[in-house]
Amino acid sequence: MLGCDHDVGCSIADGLSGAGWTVRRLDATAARTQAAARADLGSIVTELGGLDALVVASWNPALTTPKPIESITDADITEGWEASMQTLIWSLQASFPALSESKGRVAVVLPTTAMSGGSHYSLAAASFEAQRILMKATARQWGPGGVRLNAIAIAPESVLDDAAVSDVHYLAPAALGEDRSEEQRSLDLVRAVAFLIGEQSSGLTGQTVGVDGGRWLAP
Amino acid sequence: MSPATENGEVAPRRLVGRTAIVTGAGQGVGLGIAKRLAAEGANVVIAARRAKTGEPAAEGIRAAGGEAVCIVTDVTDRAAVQGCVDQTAERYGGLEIMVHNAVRGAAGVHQIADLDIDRWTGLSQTAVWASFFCAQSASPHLKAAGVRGRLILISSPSGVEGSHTLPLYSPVKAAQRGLAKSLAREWGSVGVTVNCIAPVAETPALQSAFLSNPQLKSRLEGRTPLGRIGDPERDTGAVAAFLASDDGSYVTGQTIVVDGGHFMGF
Repeated sequence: MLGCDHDVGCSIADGLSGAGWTVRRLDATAARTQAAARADLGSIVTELGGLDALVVASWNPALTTPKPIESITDADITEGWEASMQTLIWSLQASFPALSESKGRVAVVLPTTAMSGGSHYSLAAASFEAQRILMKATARQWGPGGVRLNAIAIAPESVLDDAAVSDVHYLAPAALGEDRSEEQRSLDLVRAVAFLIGEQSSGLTGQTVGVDGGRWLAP
Repeated sequence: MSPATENGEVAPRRLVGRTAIVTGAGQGVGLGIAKRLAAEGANVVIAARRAKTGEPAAEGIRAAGGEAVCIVTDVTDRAAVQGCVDQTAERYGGLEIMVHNAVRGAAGVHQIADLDIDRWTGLSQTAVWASFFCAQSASPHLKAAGVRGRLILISSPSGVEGSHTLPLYSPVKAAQRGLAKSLAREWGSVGVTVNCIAPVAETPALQSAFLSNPQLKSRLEGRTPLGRIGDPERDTGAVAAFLASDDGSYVTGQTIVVDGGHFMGF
């Protein structure tokens, strides 16, 4: 589980552990370079004797803090765009040999802001949509070898500090209603991740599954 | 000027009195867009990395009766982009249309499993960093232009569906779509529109690919409902001109795929 330096990543790791998975936790900062990814993921593969699934929830404060475009600095782009993208690229690359061996699974967790865009969240929308499409491209490339990749899109308020400023999500209520508790939403997410990295989802790859109670209903 | 359509019709003059910057306009899709915007009456700045391609592009537009200058610009350099915008505004009195098309490192099949940082850096800097630089530098002028302000980012169908052969090109083109949607929301209140175009067009890069793989062209045409590969000026340029004109003033946050119907995934 890559992304255990925030609540969403931790709750996924806890949930998978509770469901019987052997889970190793990494902060989103762990795989920022090619060398670091190889070292960190390589040691886990060696320790466990293989790898069945990689779950990535890669974000940081540069992505979750709202800013108008005019205020975004080079440091913000380095942190928000380069770091989050390189974390995903290098962790995918480093885990490829083990995932090929196991015909394993990758799940990328991101907010629906990837698809919707968000006012004052241009850096986040760019980075998360790029993560989602990298997942698709890699799914095409690795599919013939049996490795499957999918994304889970969660409600923006689970990720962004001030999702209300991104406005679109508040135009329509969730189809399942707005009264799901934080605990229920966390459980929803863990179940979806477990499904996508488990044996029951063998026909799925390159897909984005919305787990937001049905608020974002576009394909 | 070249005919604006396959039937030989001339371009309408919807952009008279407006000024556009087109990055990567020395050749290919960027040049096609620049030609079409100029044909519709816009003052066009060819923002090219090399004068070797940018100057002839501007000269070609002038020779055809349009208004164009070349400003040599490395879009990966924030100060250079700002300088280009400043010079443009000074020369023409404003900037209504910013088109970011330049990209480097798009060619060549690559594998996630064995790629290196260099391929990523070229794509990331030209497609994503430069999109932010263009948006930020142009922002005051586009906002001043209000309902005539336009930001157009040239994305790709692979930025929607992901490409089996270009797995790093796909996410940088997707990032532009995420940026465009967000800025469409951010700038909508002042009337500025922000859109992406995702073209497939016969560019020098694609022509090179055809030379190395002679079956590629017929295969691509065979998979395209309209049976031909797009023309950078008549097809991509026409969509850019529509978005840049008053006719496109109610279109924002969109990605328009201009590929003859090859991709229909929306």
